[in-house]
Amino acid sequence: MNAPVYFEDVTIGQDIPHQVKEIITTRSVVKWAAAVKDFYEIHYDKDFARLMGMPDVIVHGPNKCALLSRLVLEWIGELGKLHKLSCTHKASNFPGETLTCRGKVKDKYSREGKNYVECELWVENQEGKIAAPGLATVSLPSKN
Amino acid sequence: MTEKSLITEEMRAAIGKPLNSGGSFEVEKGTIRNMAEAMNYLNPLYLDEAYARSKGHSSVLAPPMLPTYDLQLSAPLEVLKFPFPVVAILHGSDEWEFMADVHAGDVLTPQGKIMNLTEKDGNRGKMLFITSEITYTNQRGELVAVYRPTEIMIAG
Repeated sequence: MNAPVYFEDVTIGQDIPHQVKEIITTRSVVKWAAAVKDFYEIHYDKDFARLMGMPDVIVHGPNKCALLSRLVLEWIGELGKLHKLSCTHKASNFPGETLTCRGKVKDKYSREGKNYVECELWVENQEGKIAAPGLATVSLPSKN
Repeated sequence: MTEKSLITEEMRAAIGKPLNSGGSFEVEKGTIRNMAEAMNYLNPLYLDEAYARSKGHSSVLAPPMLPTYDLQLSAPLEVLKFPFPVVAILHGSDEWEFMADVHAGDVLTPQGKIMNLTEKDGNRGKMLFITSEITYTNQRGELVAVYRPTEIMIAG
């Protein structure tokens, strides 16, 4: 477990000092399909995916959203709380690609006794192409 | 040439009506483990009951998106009668709000509705964006999460 992140440690504009990197395989796509019981054929049947105009089976959008949640949760640790998370699916991703989740701190403010941090997040592939830009709101403990 | 809308009056009338979002389900440890493994996030809070209890949790904690386990993303398709052939369905976006922790043993009840229908022109043809909202309530009647996915129908 990393050292806890406190509200005072965070600066607007800074990069999130953590990344999540995953190599996509057909197996990883099927594991997500099974975990959420999403058996739309485009995620495991290559022939079906090709009929849909894709070169291969595609990564589930919510799987990328889950990787963004992992980025945030691994960064903030057990003392932080995730309140909101959203992302837009701009590009499809396929087995063989390496996805990296990164982020930046957009804003921080205190409201009703809680210390909120808003972050810009994104999933990019090995060519730096952004597949899923997103936003998260977390709250962090204070040193005071 | 008049462009025909993808959205009929009948479809508009379905906005706000309840969707078949699946029944109540118990959050199981195995389901939590499967999702943790699928996102390659082996957080001991998700996997180790003794550890989770030592941190004040009632049992193992669920990853944030666990409520979508067994989600009927196709539920809007049951109530919307499209006046066009759907050639492909894409998942457009995800939006989550988390109000309370979910643990193994909790019983969640999903309830969905259609929030918004929008049409756009895309490079694959006309597209219909369907945004729905699913609320998840636990066995104590507490709202634990709200999920707003957008699905995109590509019209033939």
